[in-house]
Amino acid sequence: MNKWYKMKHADMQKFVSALTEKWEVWVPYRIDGKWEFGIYDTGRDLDFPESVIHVSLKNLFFPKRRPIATYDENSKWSLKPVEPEGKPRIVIGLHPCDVAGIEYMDKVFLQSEHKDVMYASERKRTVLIGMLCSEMADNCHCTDRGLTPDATRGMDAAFARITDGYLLKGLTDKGKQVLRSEYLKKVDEVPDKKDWPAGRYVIASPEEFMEMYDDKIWHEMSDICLTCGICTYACPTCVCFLVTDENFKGKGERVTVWDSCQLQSYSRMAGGHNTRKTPASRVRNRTLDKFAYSHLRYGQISCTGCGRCVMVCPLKRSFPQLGARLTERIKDKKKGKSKSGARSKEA
Amino acid sequence: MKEMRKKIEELLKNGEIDVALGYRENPATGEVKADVFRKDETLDDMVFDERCVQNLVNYLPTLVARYKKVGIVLKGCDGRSLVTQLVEHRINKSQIVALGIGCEGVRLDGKEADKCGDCATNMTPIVDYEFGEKKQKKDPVFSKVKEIERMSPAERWKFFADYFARCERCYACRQICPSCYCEICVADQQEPKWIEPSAKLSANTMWHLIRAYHLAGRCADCGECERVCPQEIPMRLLNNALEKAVHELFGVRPGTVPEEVPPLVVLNKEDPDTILEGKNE
Amino acid sequence: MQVEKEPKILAILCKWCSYAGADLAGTSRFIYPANVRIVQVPCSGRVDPIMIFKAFVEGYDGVMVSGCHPGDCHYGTGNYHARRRIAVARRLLEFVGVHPDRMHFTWISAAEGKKFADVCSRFTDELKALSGTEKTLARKELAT
Ligand code: SF4
Ligand code: SF4
Ligand code: SF4
Ligand code: SF4
Ligand code: SF4
Ligand code: FES
Repeated sequence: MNKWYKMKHADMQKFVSALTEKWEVWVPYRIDGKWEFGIYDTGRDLDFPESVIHVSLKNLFFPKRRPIATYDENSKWSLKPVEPEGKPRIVIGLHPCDVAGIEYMDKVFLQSEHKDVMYASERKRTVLIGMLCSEMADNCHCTDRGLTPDATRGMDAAFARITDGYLLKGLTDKGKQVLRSEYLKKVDEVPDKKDWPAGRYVIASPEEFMEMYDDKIWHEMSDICLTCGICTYACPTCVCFLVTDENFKGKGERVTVWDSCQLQSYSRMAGGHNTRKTPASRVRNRTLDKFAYSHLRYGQISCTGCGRCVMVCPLKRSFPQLGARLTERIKDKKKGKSKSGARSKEA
Repeated sequence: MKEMRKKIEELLKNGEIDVALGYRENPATGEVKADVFRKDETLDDMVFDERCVQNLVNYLPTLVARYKKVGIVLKGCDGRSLVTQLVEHRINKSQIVALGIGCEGVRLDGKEADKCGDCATNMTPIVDYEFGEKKQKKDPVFSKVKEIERMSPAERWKFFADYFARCERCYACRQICPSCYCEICVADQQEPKWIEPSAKLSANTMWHLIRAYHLAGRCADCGECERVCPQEIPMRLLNNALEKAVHELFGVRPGTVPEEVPPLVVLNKEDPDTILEGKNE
Repeated sequence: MQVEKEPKILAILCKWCSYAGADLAGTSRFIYPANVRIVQVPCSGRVDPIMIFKAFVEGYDGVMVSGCHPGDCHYGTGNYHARRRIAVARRLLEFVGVHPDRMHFTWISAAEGKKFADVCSRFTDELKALSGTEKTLARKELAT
């Protein structure tokens, strides 16, 4: 099945409804003007966004709050690990940047020495059916991160919107199996190739970033960041969590909960010492983590170019922007015109 | 505005202030943001108009740590939050020069900001140089608070639970608030863990109640917490309910009187016991 | 959602007066309902409203706070502070939907064992009258 198949718009609805018999199907929904993935219920109209889905898929594989062990009074509070479980599921409509995010999480949770069994199970039970973006939203900059809005890498199957329906293509065995359907017609059409704009937030190389570790610029950059946690929660590749116990009525759960290096409490240790007490040090950590540390550790910078952090930032200013600004400073420095203490006007 | 710009230029030039905190317009985008102005620059892009929503007081502590003397442009509500910072000894008055401007109201999302409808003073109570027109203001009405107060307990809870459930616990509301500056916030405490860190209704409820309570009698109704909340949780309702309560119980309108200590820090032996009774009876 | 037949009350009592009052109620064999769980604090000034919030969120039907009578606080002024704080906390809780009758704040001295027993009985009855109305704020599950 190396060719594209075609499906009419009305058939898509039937096709997805039919899938719900065996699968848990996740599709994008628009809630208050924002796109978010939700479980498909057959009655609802299907629609797909042209571009980025506001809420990332991270929650599906690495949930906000995830019990890893339980305990209760009767068992004398001894820990019982939670066994991963769940029905096979299909996610329909994820974009190239979402896949890049999942690829990065795979590196963190599966390819390091401590394999995360919960994550592995969530991954295993999911088929990823991607959708090619037909435009780039205001904050998208995947083209600056080595992706294109119509890349199919990492998807099990992909589809693209055309005027009178969709073009579909199976890419892996899993994907091809899902696509076996009466509604598909083999065609000679292929999705349009477009020239995508680039250069929104171009950034320097990881090595150059590392050289900026001790630069004064972090203080300037942190002046314009609240160090709240929302950009990290929105980011598809921010994977930090804390482990905590929650109790209620003689029962308890040990859970992992999303945490954020932007919050002051993140790096506070027993005894009260805090290794990243200043906002500057926290901003530096996240910026370098996206653009340098990730590369050193996993060979891939972890910003996928989805632009979600910019969308959610209360100050509408975020890491790709900070990265770009830092990159300018790196260039200036190389040209030898670094002016210490000068602030960018738009701060 | 022209006068103010001239004054700031003068203060910077003759060294009376090291830097000035004000609003800068980005001519390319028309965006207006908080920024620091220095001696060696022209102040052409310094503005003050209905786009100046931000409360600059939140940026003050970092600046006074770095510079000896800081000038700050203040709206009425921002001035109120400055009062809180001064009486709580977070900032020393000798380190700042307050440039008050008669605020004509700010706009948010294309309409006048809600808080401006309940503005208690359009001129900062702490002021060294005054510009623009100071208006006589009536006491805030808080009509939305009154709307809630007409609901039954169950209806109120339904209203708030829907919002609380949405909270992501990103703490942007805490980070932007000039008066939320605890070294270790109660939400970050591990032992005892009053507020569980996960974003779920019960823990979020705890967070919102304690945040509002800690700001009771201190909140200046600058509206920043609500403005930055990515989940659009109407925190001003809680703040205002308590501002109203504090006014009814102790006759205090937080931040409007210089050097007035927040009502929950002081005690009054003459408080009647009736304040402990439920309001709806 | 329904209140259990026997409401659960959390009583936060100051050590010097109200707790001693409760003790006296016990030793004098005054009868009061078994619905009350007592937390002893050094002084009503120690009562952080977060305790009251937590009690409601964890599912208590009613919360009672009591300290020494104004003027009698062992530490001088703790109860004046408490009065202000609790008054504000009560307004906040009412505003988000806790029924006013679910909160009871009072002064009980070490000699008022009888008053303690009476207050507990009355409060219990009031809460029973509220059974059937929603117990707002109370969490239902571990995960909610
Ligand atoms: S840093 Fe921002 S743009 Fe990059 S992947 Fe994360 S959310 Fe997307
Ligand atoms: S960049 Fe924006 S979203 Fe991220 S911590 Fe700073 S203020 Fe919050
Ligand atoms: S800013 Fe909004 S979402 Fe974030 S913690 Fe505050 S209330 Fe919750
Ligand atoms: S609680 Fe909100 S409105 Fe009140 S001072 Fe803080 S940021 Fe401003
Ligand atoms: S919520 Fe309370 S404890 Fe936390 S920073 Fe604000 S005032 Fe401090
Ligand atoms: S010791 Fe009883 S109220 Fe202070």
